[in-house]
Formats: sequence, structure tokens, C-alpha cells
Amino acid sequence: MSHFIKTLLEREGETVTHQARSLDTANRDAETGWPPVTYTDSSIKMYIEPLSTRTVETDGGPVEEKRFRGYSVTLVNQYDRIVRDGITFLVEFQREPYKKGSTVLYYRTVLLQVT
Amino acid sequence: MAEDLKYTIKKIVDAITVKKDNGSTDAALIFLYEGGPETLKELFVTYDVVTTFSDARVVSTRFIQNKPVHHPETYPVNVLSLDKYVAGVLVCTADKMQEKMKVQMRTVIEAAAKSVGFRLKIATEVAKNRRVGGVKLWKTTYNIVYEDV
Repeated sequence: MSHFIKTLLEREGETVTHQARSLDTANRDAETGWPPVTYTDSSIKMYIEPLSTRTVETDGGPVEEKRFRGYSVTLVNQYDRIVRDGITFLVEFQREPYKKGSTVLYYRTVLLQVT
Repeated sequence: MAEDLKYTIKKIVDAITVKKDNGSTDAALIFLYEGGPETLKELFVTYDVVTTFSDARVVSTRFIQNKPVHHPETYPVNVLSLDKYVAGVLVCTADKMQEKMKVQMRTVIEAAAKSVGFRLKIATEVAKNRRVGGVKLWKTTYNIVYEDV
């Protein structure tokens, strides 16, 4: 089953934009102390499926939180972004990779839709 | 545009230096606004004590009858430390770093208590220690009251 998913991803996975996040800790803002955040784009294959939806009430109105599960053969890190069809997802949580022995077959992540 | 008062307090506090457990090596300190892009564990890879500045709570008062309303602002400053190990050796003990920072916080705030244009004081110090994410995270919140004069 796991080999099937790996092959499926490589052949049939959607091409999405992976925005890898990096923090420039050498150039922190003088006032806030925060490092600048930059993103580097690349194209990867990913299969995305719905996971859950909930609505959070805020003082400014309801906010819908839609979560998805993402499968990829490329490693994506927590707080990276994935862009598919103009929709941006935040990599909220990165699960342990699915391995056979010591070989990583694919990675699973939890994505949160932000736009 | 007036300076963010968090920044005013940050500039006073970030002069602090403390030593690691060995008493001779300077500890790596960072002072930053709350809510930055880094996780706590990312910060503690590089730093030994993390100090964050939160937004104010304001309780407006009328100091003396018929005088203008005052707006004393209370800014929480959170000093966070944990047991830090380097190559298996404990180099910074959470409790000890909190004690050292407490002495320094009181010193710098008292030195700036009667600054030009404003007054500062530490109103309360609240310790909240917890174990989270597999680490012992010790925190003291210094509620610093700022008032224009």
C-alpha cells in the first residue's frame, strides 16, 4: 500500500508550489527583535485531501478553519506554505515520515487553509 | 509619531547582562516583542534567556479631582528560562537564571524610575513555572507600570 502511495504521488500527484520558510536571525528588527521571514518557491508533487472543518467565533466575526492532509515525497517543514490553484495553505503540523526500513516513502503533513 | 511604549521599556531592559551557571560566561539573552515568527524551542537553541514584551493593559484614573484623566499603562515583560544543556552538561539552570534576571530587572527599572517625561515601576512580579513540550519552562512576568508626567 505504501509503495502504491509513493508511486501515485510521483506519477499522479498535483504540482503545487512549496514556499520554504527561512528566518534571517542575523538581521533582527531593532524594535521588535523579530527576524525577517522569507520564502523560497519550488514546485513539488503533493496529494491533498480534506481533513476537518470548524468555525471559530471572534470579535470580528466567524473564522472558518479548514484542515487538509498532504502527502508528498518532498520534505516540507512546519510553517512552510503550500500554494495550490491560488489557495495558500500553512503547514501546521508535520507528522513522522512513512518509512520502509530506513527509506522514507512519503511525508504526511497537516495543512491549514489561510486564503 | 510617538514611540511605542513597549519599545521604550525594551530599550531600558535590553541593557541587562547576566552570567551562566559557571558565573563567568555571559548568558545569551534576547529581547523581543511577543508574537514573533519563531517557536520557543527555536529561540532556546541560540539563547539562554528569552524576554518578551506584551501589549499594555490600561486602567484610566483621575489622579486628583478636576485634573485630567491619567492613563497608567501596565506592560507585562515575560522572562523565560529553561534548563539548558550543552553536550550533556547543564550550563543554565532555569531557576538560577530567573533569580539573576530578577536582580537585574529591579536594578534597571529602578534606575529608570524617574526618567524625563515618564515614570516606571515594577508593580508586580508573577512566577508561573510549567512543564510543556518536554521542557521545564520557568517564567516570571514583571508588570511594569508606565505613566506620563
